[in-house]
Amino acid sequence: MDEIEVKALEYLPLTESTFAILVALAEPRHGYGIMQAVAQADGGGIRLGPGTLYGALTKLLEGGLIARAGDSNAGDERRKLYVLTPLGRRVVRLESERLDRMARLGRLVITQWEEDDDADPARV
Amino acid sequence: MTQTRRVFKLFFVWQDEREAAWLTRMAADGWHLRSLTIGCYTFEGGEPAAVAYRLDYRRLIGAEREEYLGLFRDAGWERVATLANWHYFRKAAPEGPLPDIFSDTASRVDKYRRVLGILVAILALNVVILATQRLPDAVTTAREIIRMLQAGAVVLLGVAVLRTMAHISRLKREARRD
Repeated sequence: MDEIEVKALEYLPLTESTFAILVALAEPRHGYGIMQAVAQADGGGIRLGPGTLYGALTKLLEGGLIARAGDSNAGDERRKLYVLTPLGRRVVRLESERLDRMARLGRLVITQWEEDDDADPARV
Repeated sequence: MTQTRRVFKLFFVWQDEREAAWLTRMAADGWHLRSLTIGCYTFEGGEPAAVAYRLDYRRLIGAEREEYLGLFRDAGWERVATLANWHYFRKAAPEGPLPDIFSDTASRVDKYRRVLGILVAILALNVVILATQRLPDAVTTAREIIRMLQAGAVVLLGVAVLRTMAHISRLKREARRD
């Protein structure tokens, strides 16, 4: 296990919001861009409050999971951009693998229940 | 000329949700918060409206302020006032449930942890001052009164710490039930 993996493991498990924010930052986005991205169905379908987002960004910047990526000057307002760091990428990878393992575990018993139901339809 | 109204009311630090609910009721009666100082709220008369009020506690340094307020602005929240690191936000909510500035329990709990941090720091400072003070040989009435006020502040801060901690556990309990 390398140093970066040890550090990345400290952040697991992530809250659903934090995970979605990290995934959205696979490309540079500003705060509002993150809110829009995670609200979409393929971004997690999460309505992110600005208080929750600001808190998460502060923590992720401190931990080095994301970094600043300059300003965006679209429109009349200047907004700060953020993007995943290599550590942040590792965290996303490890968390995805962990969730995969958990989901497989769950599916295993669900399949078992379905087979039982097929054998004995009276049981629920 | 718009009508203004001043209301004197005190809320403790663990009661910010109750305070926000009260501001929402005032707005429903046509009184919209304009400014505030400790215990004194100034409202502006207007049309009754469904408005969500939410409070956040956060110390902001330098450029953080613009970044923070910009995020709320983008999400449609207006900052009405800031008092002792408490930021008052509002958003029109014409239909459905009132929106919140926090969308998960973890971040809601974090807010009260920030409040708790500052309360514990002030409490510790007061206890140290009270404990290390050397009483003069001749105890005067003025000294006695100051010491009593200090002791009162320590008690009040102690209660605030306990109530804030209780509020954090309640939030966590409610989250588990959901």
